[in-house]
Amino acid sequence: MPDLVIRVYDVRFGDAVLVTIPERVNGKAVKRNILFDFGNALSTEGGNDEVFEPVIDDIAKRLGGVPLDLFVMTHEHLDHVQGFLHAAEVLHKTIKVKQAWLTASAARDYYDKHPQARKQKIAALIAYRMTQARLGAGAARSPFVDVLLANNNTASTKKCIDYLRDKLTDPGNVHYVDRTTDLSALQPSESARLSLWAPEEDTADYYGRFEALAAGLRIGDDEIFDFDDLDGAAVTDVELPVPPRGVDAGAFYNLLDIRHANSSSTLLSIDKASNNTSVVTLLEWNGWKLLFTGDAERRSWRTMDKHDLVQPVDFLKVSHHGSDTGMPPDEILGKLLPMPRPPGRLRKAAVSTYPNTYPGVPDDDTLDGVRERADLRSTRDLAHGKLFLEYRFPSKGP
Amino acid sequence: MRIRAPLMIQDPDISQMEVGRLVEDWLRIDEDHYLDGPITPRVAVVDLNPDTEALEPGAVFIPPEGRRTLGSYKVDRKRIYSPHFIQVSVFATVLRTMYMYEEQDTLGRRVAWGFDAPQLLVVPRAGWWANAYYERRSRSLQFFSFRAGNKLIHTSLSRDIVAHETAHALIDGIDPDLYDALDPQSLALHEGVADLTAVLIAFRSGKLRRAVLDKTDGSIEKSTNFSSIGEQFGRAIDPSGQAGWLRNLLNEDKLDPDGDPADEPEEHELSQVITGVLYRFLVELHTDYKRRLAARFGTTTFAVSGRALYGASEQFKRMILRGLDYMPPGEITFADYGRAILAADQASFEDDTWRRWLRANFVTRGIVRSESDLDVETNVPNRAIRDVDLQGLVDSDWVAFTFAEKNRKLLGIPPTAQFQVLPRIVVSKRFERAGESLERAAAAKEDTASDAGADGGAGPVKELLFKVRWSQKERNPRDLGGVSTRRIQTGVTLVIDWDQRLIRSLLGPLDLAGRRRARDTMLRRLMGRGLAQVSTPDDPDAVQQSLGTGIEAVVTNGILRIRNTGRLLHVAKDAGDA
Repeated sequence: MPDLVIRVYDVRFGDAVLVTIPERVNGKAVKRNILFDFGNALSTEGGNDEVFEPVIDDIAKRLGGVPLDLFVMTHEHLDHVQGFLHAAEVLHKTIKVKQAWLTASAARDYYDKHPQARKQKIAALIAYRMTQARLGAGAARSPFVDVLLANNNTASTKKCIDYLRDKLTDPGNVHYVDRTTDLSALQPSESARLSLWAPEEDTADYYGRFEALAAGLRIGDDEIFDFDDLDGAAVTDVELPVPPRGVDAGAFYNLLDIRHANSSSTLLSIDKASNNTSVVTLLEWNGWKLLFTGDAERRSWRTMDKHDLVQPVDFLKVSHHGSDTGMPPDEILGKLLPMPRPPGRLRKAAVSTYPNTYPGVPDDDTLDGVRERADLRSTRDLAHGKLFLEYRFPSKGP
Repeated sequence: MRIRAPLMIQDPDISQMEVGRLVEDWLRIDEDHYLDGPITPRVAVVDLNPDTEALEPGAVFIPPEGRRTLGSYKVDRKRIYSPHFIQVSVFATVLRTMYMYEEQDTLGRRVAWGFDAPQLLVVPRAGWWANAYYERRSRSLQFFSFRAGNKLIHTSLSRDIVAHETAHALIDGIDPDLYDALDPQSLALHEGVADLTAVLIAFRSGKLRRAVLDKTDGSIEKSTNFSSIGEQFGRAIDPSGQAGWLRNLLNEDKLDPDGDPADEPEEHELSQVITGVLYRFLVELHTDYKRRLAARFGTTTFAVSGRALYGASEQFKRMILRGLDYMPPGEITFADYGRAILAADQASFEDDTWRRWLRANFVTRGIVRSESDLDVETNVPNRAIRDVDLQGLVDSDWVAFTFAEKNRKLLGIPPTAQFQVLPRIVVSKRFERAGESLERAAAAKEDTASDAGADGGAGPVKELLFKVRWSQKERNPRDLGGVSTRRIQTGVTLVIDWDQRLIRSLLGPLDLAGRRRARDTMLRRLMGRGLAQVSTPDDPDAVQQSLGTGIEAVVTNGILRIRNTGRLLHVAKDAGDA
């Protein structure tokens, strides 16, 4: 029996991870293929879209004309969802997909069923609008801010997710999943078992104490906006007040300018909340335990731990492109990759990342911490011309 | 012109103290002129509507009329959540804190702000967020509002929080280098002194003092009411306490004097070490005052606990805040601050009882290895001081520069260092005779003794604060910014007794080189979290790259320089990960 193979594609600042599982069906050797995410960030070098074509070509070649058994969209960020739409619209290339699992909150009726999450999501959307308006008015801003704005722009992300919902496969084969989803009828392979550690069904908790920083909105119990209220550009028209008598005009407008600049912190909060809705999948095969984490951040790791889900794994897709906040806290990391390492047993880790795209990512200390516990490789270590990192797990098991 | 203004002493919604709502009138505000807002030359309340960012009308100033001598602002004292009450209360609390620092019994001078403008802007309803902060670059204090359960909490109505943030602004005016420092102890000091300022402002309310002491048998040791800063506020936003809002000053936290400075905790946790030893100092002072006053009046310690606390906290305030003026510029440690406190006190008072207590306890807490580390010389004659034209030193940058150049050795300025003489400051401090503190406490009213009457008394001491700053290169780990050298600030503070022509104090840093690894750790943390991104002056995105945190890491000619680390104090906090 061949090895199980994981290929972590270099899509710059994004994720695309193909898992190929060999198995026998009715005595015949077949391969089951699962793709976790496909996308990269907008703006900057880390979001170069030219990387998509060789990746979609390689996946199509490996599928050899058979459909992809499962596509998993971990969360609704551009750097995880953009690839298929780009391939279809720009490159005119598609692949067939049997079924797709999208994070639960991507379902069109999700926020009708979860009022608390709805309230938080609307607050985040309004804050995003305000932040975008304020930052847009600034003369100069960090390229990081552009990435965050693009990554969290629901308008542009929506097109990509609509494609995944409606066109990637038959909408009847699209499943919106959370930790509690019954996967027994959805398993893409007979020899492997997939289980979900995250996200929670109600994503409200991931927003934590998120509140809009000076964003000009009240998140009161009686004043919930509706999604429809977000149409139109009213929130972008912020009229500058006139300084009061006795206050230097320069100092007053300086104060307003800096308050607007601080709005970028709001963007980070929104970004974290969405990261924490990541689908975290454990794939078990012949005794191997392989974990695919999307961009789950600490709040999600703590919730996974609270549910006693965290256990030792043999492969870790490092979360959130190697950020400090994507790494589990030490006590949880110790459960995931316990030390000392078991002698003679493989323990691998992979990070898909690109520098100077997102503030503080990748974080060298964080990656050093993983390196102490596992054989870590980064897509940045790939030799020129190499398309992916490859990991093999023998069928005989650990 | 003086005015009368109400200020919130205790809002039951944001306090665990079961003393009900306390609003006091404060009659000591004395500024040059007043405008609606309130707006004065030094402090302006700018009430931006948190929903629309429109400027709300400020409270209307009412000048004194007829036989009245006090002005006031038009405000309904019963409507504490009305914009006008919030505006006036936060204004009065900010000024009350400023005056405590500036009075003759403390620094004896007006504090200039740490930014290049005369006016501090105060935004009392800055938005919807569980936070409040001082921000140098916007020259402002910003107080946010948030919901906790069914309660709407305005941080601008919390006396603790307003005093704490005002203290950050004042400390930045006194020692701007702390805001740019890389040593976590420098930032921890900013935070610790701000916490202690909040406590001192609480003690200045006679009614609050009495109300709490009545519930604690006259002890500030048994109660967490005074020793927990912003406790209810902290619990509302972060029940776990991990985000750093909950700080108990009554603690036994220590440093390891033989440990690696790189292993010290982060600034908020670290601040508890300095506040822990100083709050314990206050507890001991209070106990001593109670004992002595009870003996004097032939009564119980409980009966005199209020005026004892008044007397003890005034003495405590004098010691810890005067120390700020004596600290050298640049990177500072707790030990440097301790030496400054001791020097300021030793220069004025012979009785060393409490200085001995402080020296012993700084050792116990691991801040210094031995008491001798805290030795300071005071009131030393020196020929350089005897002959110099002091007024010329104050008035002329050239005279000041020449004096420093000529006295490099005395001042400890390295032979090749290019230095900067900071603006000279003349102070006029109240000089207290032996036993006078106790007399004042004894004469005070048990229930209502307040900040009134702190000025006056014995003749003042005139001091000249002469500070020189220079930068020093040190090794920088190459993985932090890609360069092997960085620049840090250091300096010396010379305090001259104007009339006696003596060196009251001369202090530089105790162990600047020994703290390098602590600075490495801080830098690693800033960069690891994306709070500081290295840029060069040629980079069009310089400064912007820190994602709005405002912490600057700039490489010029292969040398790294960090600024605005003070932004870590609340602004850059990320409670969402807690």
